[in-house]
Amino acid sequence: MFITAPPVASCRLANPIPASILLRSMRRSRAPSTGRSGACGHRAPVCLRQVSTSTAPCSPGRSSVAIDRARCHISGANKGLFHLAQNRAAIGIFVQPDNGEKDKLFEGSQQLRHVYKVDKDCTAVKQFRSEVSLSAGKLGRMKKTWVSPMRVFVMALLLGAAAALAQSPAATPTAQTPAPAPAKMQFFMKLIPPRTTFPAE
Amino acid sequence: MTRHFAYWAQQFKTGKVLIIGPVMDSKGAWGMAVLETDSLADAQQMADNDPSVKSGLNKVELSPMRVSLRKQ
Repeated sequence: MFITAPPVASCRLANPIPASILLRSMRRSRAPSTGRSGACGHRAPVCLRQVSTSTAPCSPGRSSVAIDRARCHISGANKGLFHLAQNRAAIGIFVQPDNGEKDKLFEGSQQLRHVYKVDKDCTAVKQFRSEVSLSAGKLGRMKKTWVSPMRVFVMALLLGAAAALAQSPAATPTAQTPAPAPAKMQFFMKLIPPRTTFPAE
Repeated sequence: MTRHFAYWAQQFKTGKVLIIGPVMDSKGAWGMAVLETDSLADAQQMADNDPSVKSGLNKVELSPMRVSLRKQ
């Protein structure tokens, strides 16, 4: 299950990233330790800079080059994310890029997506991934971001609670209730022995 | 009677028997049970499979009833 939310104060949820423009994903756990574990953005900017440098001018030709280059990583990224979706709950955090239209989050601009691997019971942030998706035509330098694992953990708890609330029967009054089980019938059974006294066990 | 008891003990575990036991009537003891099944046929089949009934030792009578109050 993916739960997505921007890490900013806005509560607007990001639109799903089209698979066709998914560019890159990297596995945080394989990165060398760089101090605070779980923090994102240490290796991610390397990846992002590679993409953003080559696509900084908004020319269609260079954009397509960047997309083609990034597509080289798609298969591995999808496998990782598929594994993530199958086995763990995850929190995806979308960060608005520098050049992004401030009032239109994630529309017509780059999307930097951080995906945290969170235990099913939301007790720990396990793993980090990041990916970049680009909307053709508007490309620019990505914003380096750092989101603390604690913030992700709190967000996971909040989103988990919200998801549980949304799935509760009270929250979905129009949901069809399962058909009731057939009513049981009761019968009084009388066992009548031929003798007048009950045989001793 | 041992097989009779074992049979009803097994049926009790299935949840289809709410209560069962002998009634010490002054005119002569007899056995009673309250069965909860999907239909009369099920209850009749359960009663007929009682070893004491199969062997002809006991006769069985079934009457529909409604349990109005029951201990949870």
